[in-house]
Amino acid sequence: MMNKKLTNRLIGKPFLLTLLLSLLVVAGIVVSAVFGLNKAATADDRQMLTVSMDSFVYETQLEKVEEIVDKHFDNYDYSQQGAMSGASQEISYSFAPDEIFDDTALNALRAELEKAFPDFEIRVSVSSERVVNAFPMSYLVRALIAGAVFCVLAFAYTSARHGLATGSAVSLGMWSAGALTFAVFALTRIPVTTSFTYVLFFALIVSAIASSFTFRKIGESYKSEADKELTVEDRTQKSVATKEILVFTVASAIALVLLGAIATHAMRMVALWSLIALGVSVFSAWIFAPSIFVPLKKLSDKKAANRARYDYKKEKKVKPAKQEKQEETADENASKEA
Amino acid sequence: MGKKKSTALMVLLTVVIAVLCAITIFPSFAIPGTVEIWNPAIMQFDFGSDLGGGQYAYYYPEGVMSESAFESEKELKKEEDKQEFVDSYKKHGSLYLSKDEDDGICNDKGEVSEDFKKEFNRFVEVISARYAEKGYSDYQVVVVDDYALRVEIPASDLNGSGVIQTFAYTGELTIKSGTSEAYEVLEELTKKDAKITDYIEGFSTTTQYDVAYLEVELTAKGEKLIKDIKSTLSGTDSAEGGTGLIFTVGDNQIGYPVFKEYIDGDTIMIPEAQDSDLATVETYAIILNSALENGGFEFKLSPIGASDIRSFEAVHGDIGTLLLYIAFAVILLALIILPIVRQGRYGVVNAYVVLSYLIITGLCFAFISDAVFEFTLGSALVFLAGLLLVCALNNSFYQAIKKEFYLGKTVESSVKTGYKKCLFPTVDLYAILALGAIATAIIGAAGLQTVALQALICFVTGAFCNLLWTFAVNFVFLSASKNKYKYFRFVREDDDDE
Repeated sequence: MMNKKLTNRLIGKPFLLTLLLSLLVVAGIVVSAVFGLNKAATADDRQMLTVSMDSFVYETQLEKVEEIVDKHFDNYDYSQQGAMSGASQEISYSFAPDEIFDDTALNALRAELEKAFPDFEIRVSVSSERVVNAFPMSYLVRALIAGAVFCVLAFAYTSARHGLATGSAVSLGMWSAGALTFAVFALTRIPVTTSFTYVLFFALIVSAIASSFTFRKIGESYKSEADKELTVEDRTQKSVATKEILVFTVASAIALVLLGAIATHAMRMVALWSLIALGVSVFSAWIFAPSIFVPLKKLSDKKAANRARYDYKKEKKVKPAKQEKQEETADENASKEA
Repeated sequence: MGKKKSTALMVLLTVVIAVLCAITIFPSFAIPGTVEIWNPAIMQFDFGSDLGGGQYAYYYPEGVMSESAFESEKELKKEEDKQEFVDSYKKHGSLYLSKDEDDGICNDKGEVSEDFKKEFNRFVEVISARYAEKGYSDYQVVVVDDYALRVEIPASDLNGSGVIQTFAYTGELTIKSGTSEAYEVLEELTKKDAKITDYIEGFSTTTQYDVAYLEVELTAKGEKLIKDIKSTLSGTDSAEGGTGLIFTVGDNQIGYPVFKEYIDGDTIMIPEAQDSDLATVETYAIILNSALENGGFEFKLSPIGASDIRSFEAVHGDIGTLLLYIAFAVILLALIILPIVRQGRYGVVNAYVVLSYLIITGLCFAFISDAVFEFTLGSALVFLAGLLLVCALNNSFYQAIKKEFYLGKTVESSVKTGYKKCLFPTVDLYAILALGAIATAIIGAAGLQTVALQALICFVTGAFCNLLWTFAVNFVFLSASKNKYKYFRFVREDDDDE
């Protein structure tokens, strides 16, 4: 009951919601334009500590190498093993770009590795790396354009099938889901990679699905005799598919948590981003889309009523005196004949 | 439908789904009596680098070497030559830069020349553009210590080493004629003011009758040039050693020679490979267009052999993919078991539909490939979204049927009316999602384009599952059911009174 009240109160404030969401989106765009998105370690500039060995190394030996490196330098972001076909191998460790490597520590590492693997030729080097294509602007722009076109197509289809008000509400809900997701990541500086575009796409999909639950009920409500006398606000508040949306959200959240908990580090990152996108999209579809539907539907109903009025009268035009007199005479003659 | 017929259909359906599930997900095993290994469809995905690892290599300009290479070369020198060798290089991070004037990198004081810096930065942009054009879902071009490059591509490209070697070409584009014994640059192109862009507009790829062609668009001047020498070229029926034209980037020939049949006015169509190897021909087109647009570079790269290309595994290696599949298995089990618990035998229908969704999408992802359909983290997301949508809509069908039933209708009538009421909203939802996926596939680039195409497969499959398959399977199961109320876990209050 309390939740329903809260939902209804939020839905009853479309302009406030629109203002708040717009402010957040604008802030996100400004921050991303000035500072860019925060790149994850795998997509950002870094320093790499590389341990090269001149021949094939077994898994147990690689683990020993990792153990020794951990002892001397354990604050790396991630490691990557590279093997030349059947020949030498190297393990690279990524560090922050401003990490300082002490020569003494490096020499100690070299000495310990040479002692542990006397049969190998081992080299340890530190290089600075600048990622050139971390987040190609053209890639991101095309993703944003694709998202916008997705929203326009949703608007076109839904408007053709269910009217402009529904089409606009669904489309605006989807647009706000994508834009708000982008803004949240820009403002909170959550590290991202190019996989972030998949999450924006996912946000639009979730918003479309969640919106469909509510707007299907609104459509049924308009066909129902029992709801004939309801106002647009009451009909919308009654039709918000809170239960269906929550069940879908909870199921999706559990699935994403499972994916993130069981699968790899990379999937964990994407699962976490998707959880955030899920929350934002569901908010857009559950609260924002129905709230913006109310004023749009009222406007649409008003225009439809004006067009459909049985006694639709044109606005009285000012006629010239001669024409008015002629019409009066004609009227008198007509009444005499009757 | 009679009970016997529906029972027989149920059994047949179960067997077919079990067999297809096995093809899709049954774990790998060695086939007894052979050296072959059985792999399910899900093990045949082309994985992006985040799941399947990839390949990488370093691009070193001549005169720049890594610390390992420097130390190795130093050790090969005689004792008395070692110091001279060391003095001829300047250490810069993990790189050694040659001070030899001929290499054009450093002066003898160890100061890197501005010309080399500019030329290297231009090289970085051009290389980055070449890899961007290739359309990988995930790749990296990294500048190492300012004067070397590392490039990483996903393992799904089976010709990855060819791509890495081809994209390293730094020479100018030119056209040569001759035989396989010797080729000479066309005389017209050796003139002082001759520019290759005056003769060639661009390169593209096309396929016809199972053959992948490299298509060359000539300018008016180029058309005239080629027309003048066409008569000197051999035909395709000539023995090996026939006279043809070749395109080279530096000293490297790109593609097969051009014979006279390939020339048609302002277009040359060179058959390069079977259409299944279109990716290789696309690599040729990219390097040729890049050389046409950007010209050559002042420096060369150190040769890159196959042994210089390294492979790397995704974090956690093979076990990473296994962990992902375990996660999906847990999710699938939950989506199968929960509806059975809550919705009775209708939940079994949902289980069959979920497995059908898994089979169709798994087979499509595995066999619509050729490095177009890399399975990435985005693929996992859209598969999950489609799967959850299928289950959510099946649940909405159940709720609609239940609502109709509790209005007093019979089970059969409730099913019919319930599906009817859910039909068009379901069509609308899938139509919007499919349109969005198509738009994103057309407009998006690289990985997003692939994910959008995979999403389209998931949504089309989901639409089939929800609009047709659920209804069909439910019809078969319901026909075979003895107690239709129990089937849906419905309780009619009148029956309770009795």
